Amino acid sequence: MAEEVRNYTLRAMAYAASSLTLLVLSLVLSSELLLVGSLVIGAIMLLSLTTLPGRPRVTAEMDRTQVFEEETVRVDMVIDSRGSWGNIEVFHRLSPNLELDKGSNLALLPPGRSRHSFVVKAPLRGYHPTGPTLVRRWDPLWLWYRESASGEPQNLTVFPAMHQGRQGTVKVSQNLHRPGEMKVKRIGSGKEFHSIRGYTTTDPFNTINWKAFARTGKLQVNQYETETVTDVMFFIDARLVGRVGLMTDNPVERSIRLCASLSSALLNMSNRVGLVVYGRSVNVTKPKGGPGALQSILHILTDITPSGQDTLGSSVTYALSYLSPNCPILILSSLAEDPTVKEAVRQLVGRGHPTLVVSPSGVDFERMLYSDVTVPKYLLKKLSRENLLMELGSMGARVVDWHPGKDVQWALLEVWE
Amino acid sequence: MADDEGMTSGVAEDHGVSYAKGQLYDQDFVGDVNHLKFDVSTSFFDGFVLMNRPASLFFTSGVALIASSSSAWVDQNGNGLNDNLSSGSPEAQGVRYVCVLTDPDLSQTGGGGAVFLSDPSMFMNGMLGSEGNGQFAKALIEFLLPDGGMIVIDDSVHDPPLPSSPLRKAAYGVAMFTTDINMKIVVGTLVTVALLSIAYLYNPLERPEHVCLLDRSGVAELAEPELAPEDSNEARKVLLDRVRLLHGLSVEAFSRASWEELDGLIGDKELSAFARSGRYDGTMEDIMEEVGRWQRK
Repeated sequence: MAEEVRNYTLRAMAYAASSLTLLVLSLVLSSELLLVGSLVIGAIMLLSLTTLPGRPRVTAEMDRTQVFEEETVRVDMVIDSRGSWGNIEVFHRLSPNLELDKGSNLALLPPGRSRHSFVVKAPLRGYHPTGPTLVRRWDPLWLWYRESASGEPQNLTVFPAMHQGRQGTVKVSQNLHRPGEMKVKRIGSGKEFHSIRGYTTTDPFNTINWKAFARTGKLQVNQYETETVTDVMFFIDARLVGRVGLMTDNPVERSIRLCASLSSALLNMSNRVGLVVYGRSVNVTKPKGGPGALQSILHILTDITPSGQDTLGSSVTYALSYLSPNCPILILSSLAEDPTVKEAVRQLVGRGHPTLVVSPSGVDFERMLYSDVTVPKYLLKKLSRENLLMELGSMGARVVDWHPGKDVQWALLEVWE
Repeated sequence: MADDEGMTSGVAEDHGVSYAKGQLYDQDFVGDVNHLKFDVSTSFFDGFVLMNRPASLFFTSGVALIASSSSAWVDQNGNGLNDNLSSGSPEAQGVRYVCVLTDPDLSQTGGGGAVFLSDPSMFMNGMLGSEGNGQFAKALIEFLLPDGGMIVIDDSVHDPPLPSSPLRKAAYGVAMFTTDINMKIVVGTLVTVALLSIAYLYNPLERPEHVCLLDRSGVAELAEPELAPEDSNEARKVLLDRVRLLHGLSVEAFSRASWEELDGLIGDKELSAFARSGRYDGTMEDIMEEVGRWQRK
């Protein structure tokens, strides 16, 4: 058990000062009345000191340990202590990136068995530590307390919010390749129904269309469309410069939320998704699909911390060997303060990668902090950004300029063809 | 003249008298070392007088009426110890004078002398009955006024003035002037308790509180929101890039263009001048708005 720290309060100081003052005055004035008063106050203090409740056992449990942004978690605490005098104060530590939604993480409780609950809201993705619980044992008069920590810290995993959007194929270029699920109107082993044909001995039984058999009296089997599978690679800008704006709404967070939503949809369509996250360093996750891939990608996205100033150029150079030939590339970046963007996009397009640049406008996020007043520097940076996006478009990449006023849903509509 | 406030120093100086700093101690005392007993032997009085915490006097004219024994010393540093016995030091033992009858040269302003006492309490009501204080006072008056006359006792000037209200008087008296060591301990204890309480008030314990940092924000490109003259080069680059892109030219082709061709591509005299020299008749904000409005003609 953790060691207890002892402390006293202002009220204890007042009691002690009163008792001492009365004692001195009683001696000076030879007053028995004052002496009795002094002794009574001193006795009350000592009595209160000896009636601290027993050291409590505290358990704190979250109803879920994994949630998505903006979801809530209920924390239930059970406090069990001996004794019937005194007071128990519990404070469950929470990450500064969590909000209290209902109730309080601080509670004053009587000794014995008590329960306390509160609800926490998670507006920002990440691994947020909760706990341990700070426990204070008070005497009945709130003069003294002993403080200790109870329990072990736990992590609340908050995944980035995901939006469904409209399902379809990712539109990466006006006329170029179409990544994602591609229905090629050929018979294959997909899920979409194509036609019915007569049964042959090599057909599996589960493809027999029993209704057609009942209707025609001949065994018929369903045929399905075939589907092609594509690797899609995301380049996510996690540089510190992407953290402009609010903690919960900035280019990095927008990029991560869009990436999570797109990844979920692409994986559902049996594609493979890879990630390149650049900021403090370049981290490459090879394209993966199948069960567990989304969970893995969500964990990587959850763990991103905006920092550093690695460039898109260096990350493209580093990740080239991991890119499947002609696989679509989605660059999610504010493009701010990165002189290598043009060269990097030129390199990707030149190697045959259909490239889509979704760029949350960092300068507009910053402008929102100035109450949407157009400060002089904004004009310069905005024009510079417009030129850059225009130039990327002229290279063959498709560019989506994402204004802060448009939500992730809007971006999904822009991305999906 | 009996003065314990130093207000008669000027008169004393005229009479060639000065007061020594520090309490006088002697081997003859009554009760405690603060009450000194002096053997007086003058033409008008022969006996003992008692003084309470007397100082001592130096004089250059006249005669001494009361002197100490040769063991007396002056506690100049106020520590109550006879700790500087070097010759010539005030704390060196020797005869000290506590009552002097002066005979100054006052031919310019008048004449006569004065009696200076180093302890005004000698003639207080409470001390008149001690030893021969009362007799000495009577004999001194008879000596000074052999033919009788008017006696004026001036006890009107005190410094500092005492506080007015009874409460303030009591507090002031207890804290500053009391000689009762117990009362000083009482006052000191209460003051210490009060100070500790006040000190604790300024550092009270606080209840833990959840701190949420989600309302933090950050800026980068607009950290300095105003345009500075050194932004002129970036503004020119923005203009030239815009012209190049809207004309669909590559960097290489645009670089080969002459000044005249550039003027033709821009099609605006003022913007052309800005692209060439960075100079513009207006503020940086004006030029940026102008660049934003520019369209290929």
